[in-house]
Amino acid sequence: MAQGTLTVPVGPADHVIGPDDAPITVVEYGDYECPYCGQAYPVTKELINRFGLRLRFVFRNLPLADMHPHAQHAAEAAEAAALQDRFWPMHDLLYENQQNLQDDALLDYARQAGADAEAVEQALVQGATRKRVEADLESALRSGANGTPTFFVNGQRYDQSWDLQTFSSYLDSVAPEASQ
Amino acid sequence: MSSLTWGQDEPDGGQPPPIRTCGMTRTLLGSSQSSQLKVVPEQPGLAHTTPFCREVGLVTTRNQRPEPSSPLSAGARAPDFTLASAPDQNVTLSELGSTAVLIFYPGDWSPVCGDELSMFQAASGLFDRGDAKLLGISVDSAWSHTAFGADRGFGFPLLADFHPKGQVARDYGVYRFEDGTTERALFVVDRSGAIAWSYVSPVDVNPGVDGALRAVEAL
Repeated sequence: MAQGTLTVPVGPADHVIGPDDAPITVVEYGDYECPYCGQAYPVTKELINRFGLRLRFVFRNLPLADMHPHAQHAAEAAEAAALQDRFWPMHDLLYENQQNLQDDALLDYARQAGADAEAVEQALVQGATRKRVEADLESALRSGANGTPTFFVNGQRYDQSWDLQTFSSYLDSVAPEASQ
Repeated sequence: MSSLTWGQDEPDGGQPPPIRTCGMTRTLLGSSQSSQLKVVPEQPGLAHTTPFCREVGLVTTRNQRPEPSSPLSAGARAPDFTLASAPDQNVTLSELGSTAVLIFYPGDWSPVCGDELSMFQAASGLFDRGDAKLLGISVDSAWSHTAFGADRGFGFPLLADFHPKGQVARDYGVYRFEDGTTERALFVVDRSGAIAWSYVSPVDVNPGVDGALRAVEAL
């Protein structure tokens, strides 16, 4: 197998925006406390906006806990919100507030995202979503993720710059608009 | 976030745009900047044994030893070494008693290296399961390694290929004569001391841990 190949295909357990039959699938492995992921966040929002039905966007967790002390709990809290179908609002709030990811702040964001904050708190205390986050992390490492964020485009690691212009040009080359 | 167009107004200065991942900002190098060492032996077949090498486009120092011009690959014996892992501590490859993953990287503190080693740190549990020990190696001193490892929270040793400078990297064929550092290279050495797998990445591309992990698990 070539290095930098996504080993766990996108499936029903993933957090997905966009149609299953989109010609482009972008999988992001991200860390809520990583400043570069924070910078990539508005880029991914714009890509989703710009590419519409051509793009299926997937987010998976790659918390670098040795470097970012709040990253693991932030990821677990987002997965706990996902159990209540509030993943994407929680994901967005975490990236928009990544300077403040203490546990009590995570519960505030859960509330703002429309989730039951007590249930999220219970999940954090019990480690109910820890395995899910660890599974994402392992799939990232086995796929050759090489930092945060790492993007995979149609199953291959994307090693170019992810500034909006470069990334969208690349995605256009993968699936030109006219092909729709 | 106030803007959805971050990244469009980056100063480019005519250079390729920088790649960002956590802890790093790097720029893709053109092929002209990733030149390979070219060693042309005076007589065919004597590149490893004769001191009379002519190097193309490089300054040759008088005390330079003859070098293999390409990285050692699977099946070769892994040259043994003893290197400092701290100012008062050494690690000897043949005394590890387990599989070793040698992670040659160009230098402490350079963001992409930190990032590569962070990935290995994140994967250390998976390598533990394969009974493989991780060893980072660069030409930096043990003092630099100690500060760098503590700063990044690495749980595996960083070895100082410091004196004679880069000798272990030379033995493995991954010394970069053009800038005095090492290639970004990975070697999996099995318990018998044989190289089971190796990989040299473009120096500006972090290879990730997937290849080394598969090689360890295949042993």
